[in-house]
Amino acid sequence: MIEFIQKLPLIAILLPLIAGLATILIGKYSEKIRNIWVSSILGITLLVIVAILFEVIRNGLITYTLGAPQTTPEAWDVPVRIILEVDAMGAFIALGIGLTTFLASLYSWRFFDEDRLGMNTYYALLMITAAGGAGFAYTGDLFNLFVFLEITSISAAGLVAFWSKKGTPYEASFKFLVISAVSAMMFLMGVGFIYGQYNALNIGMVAERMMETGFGTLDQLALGLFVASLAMKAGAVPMHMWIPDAYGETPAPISMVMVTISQLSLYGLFRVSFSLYGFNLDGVALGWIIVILGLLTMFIGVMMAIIQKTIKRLMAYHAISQTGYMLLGVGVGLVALMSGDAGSIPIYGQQAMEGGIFHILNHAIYKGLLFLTAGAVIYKTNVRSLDDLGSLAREMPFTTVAFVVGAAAIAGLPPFNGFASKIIIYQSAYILNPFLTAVAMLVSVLTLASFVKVFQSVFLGPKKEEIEGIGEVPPSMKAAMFGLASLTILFGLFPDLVVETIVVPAAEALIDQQGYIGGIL
Amino acid sequence: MILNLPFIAVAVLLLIGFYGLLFKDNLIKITMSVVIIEGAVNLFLVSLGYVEGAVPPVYTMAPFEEPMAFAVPQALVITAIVIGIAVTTLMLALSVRIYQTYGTLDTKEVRRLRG
Amino acid sequence: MIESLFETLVTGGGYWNPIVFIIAFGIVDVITLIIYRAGEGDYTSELGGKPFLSGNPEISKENSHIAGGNLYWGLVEGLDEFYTVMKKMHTGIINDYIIWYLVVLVIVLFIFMGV
Repeated sequence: MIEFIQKLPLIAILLPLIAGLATILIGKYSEKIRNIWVSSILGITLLVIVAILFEVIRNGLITYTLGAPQTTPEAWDVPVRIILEVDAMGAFIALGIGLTTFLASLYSWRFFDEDRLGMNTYYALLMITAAGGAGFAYTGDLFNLFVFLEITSISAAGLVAFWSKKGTPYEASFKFLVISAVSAMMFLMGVGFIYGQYNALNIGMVAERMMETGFGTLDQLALGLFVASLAMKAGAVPMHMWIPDAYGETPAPISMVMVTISQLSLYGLFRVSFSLYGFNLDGVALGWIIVILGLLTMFIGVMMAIIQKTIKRLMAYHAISQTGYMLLGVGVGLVALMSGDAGSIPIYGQQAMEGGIFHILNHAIYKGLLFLTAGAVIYKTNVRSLDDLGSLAREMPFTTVAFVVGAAAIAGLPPFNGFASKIIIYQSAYILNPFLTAVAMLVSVLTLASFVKVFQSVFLGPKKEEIEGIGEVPPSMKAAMFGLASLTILFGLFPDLVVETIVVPAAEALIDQQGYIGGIL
Repeated sequence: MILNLPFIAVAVLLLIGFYGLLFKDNLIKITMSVVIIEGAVNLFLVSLGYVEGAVPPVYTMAPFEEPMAFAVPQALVITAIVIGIAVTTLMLALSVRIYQTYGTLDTKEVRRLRG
Repeated sequence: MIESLFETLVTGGGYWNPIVFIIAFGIVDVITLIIYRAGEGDYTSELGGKPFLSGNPEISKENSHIAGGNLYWGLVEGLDEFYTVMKKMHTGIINDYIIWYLVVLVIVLFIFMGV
């Protein structure tokens, strides 16, 4: 039984992959069986991810070598083969993509009712995306990171271009594909620089060898390539312009999945800065670069969001702005790590990292809820522009309540979960520099302003004749929205339980570079 | 290797690829530039594995005196080439669809999503 | 385990307990309700008067809904120069996206390598 738990990371990657390829076969026989098959496989994957998370929190790192019983062979001291190394941070990030792909599969049962063409391919791509995301979160090897990054991006690009009436999703998918191809190729070039120096691709092995030989010019070059490429995939300003195009033109459940895919690139950036370079970064300005990127991202994201006229594009700009909060939190932690003594971190640095990491999970939940309510509005009225909608609260009360919960969470109103993570970021960033907290609070106020705008123009107002009697959304869509809204309220009412159980081990695992190296040697 | 020629070729190919991405208007030329950049990165990875006077890393009837080239970069490059094929195919299919719905392939016209 | 449901969250500089917040909110609600009940009971909405629209006549209730794009006119007009620059930067052309990537890459490399 104990050994079976050690094999679970591989099951979380392989199960959606193989079942996704079998979906096309099952879809030829019956549609209902295919829908139930997809949702149950993704539900089982979510349970496996949660089981891995609790196992890692209780017992430490899990390492799984593909094809051998232990990481290093008997005669040598060098790890061989591809090694999946799951620490608390990787297990935490996989939670986001497991949850959103499962809820997207539930939501898609009825969302595409207008013309159900090619749904087999849609579900197959969704499951391959889930497998790629889980692989990205669990791997401990640099080249494997590149492969899973590309698998996830290519499947997501296929999903972006899936449902097109006037041709704009094709343009959005082309732009997304160019961006992800260029950034992945530059990431591979950085991997080439690292491999050429150290003759190792495993993250722990490279960190160990870099500590022996020191931090040279080629390492600085590789670090610059990694930071720029992963920040572009995550959506930092000024490389953010592909995000409103891609998030605004996909169907609503896929926008929710793409939020977690961008957060995976953010995890990749943290993994490279903390576990690969970590100690060797002494005196390098990486922490301040991440903090300044975070500030710019927060501010420009929300200022561009106020002038948008389409619902999904406005929410996509808010996704960019909230990514700035995560960059700010972990950037403050990195600055604190570099400025403290070797191996220890001042307490405000660890608190800021906990705030940033908690914000990642909260953002996936409430941003997913907002995208699903926007999808519900578009499903019922077929109108996307804010100028033509109005007074939907009379006809769709469930969607209105879900939207209010999501908007209150993103604006940081207590007692929802957005407030809990934001107050940790505000108070720990204040100790580093008060200007950071001032900008963060201003951005929070502007976020509230733009969601009041959306609420007033879509849900309130005198009755319009065009929307007489359109009724509420079907129960499968309501179930997905209800799940996310209840998670928002629960995480807001009991934040300490969530932070102590899940977030603090993740932050400690990120800071602890020696533990990561010791997992494989 | 003479005068580090493969690495100079990598730099030249990267410059050509980025020039095409930055200044060319046609979507097909942008696809071609992405393929050139992929080729440059693959060449960089393969030429990292070269040892002076090496033989190919094949185990059967291998000669004893000469060193063998590194085998790991060759495996990495095979994977990267296949990923490049998938990206290129998808980009070309999307270009066909964009031409059918927009009527043009100029990047200055294919920008209905802006602002 | 039940106590851990009601513990307070330790933030970087203080404490936050949502259960105490909800209890305080509830107490303030009860006080508000008591003050509300102590008022006059025969108020209908026609006694309040018509809405004031800067002196313009009100056409009908259905036409008085402000469309979404016009809602923050004052903010957008006041920050006009900022938004002109922003809108010009977000062109939507794919070549500009790669130009921004190269600019950030060069700036980050200069900061790291210190040239």
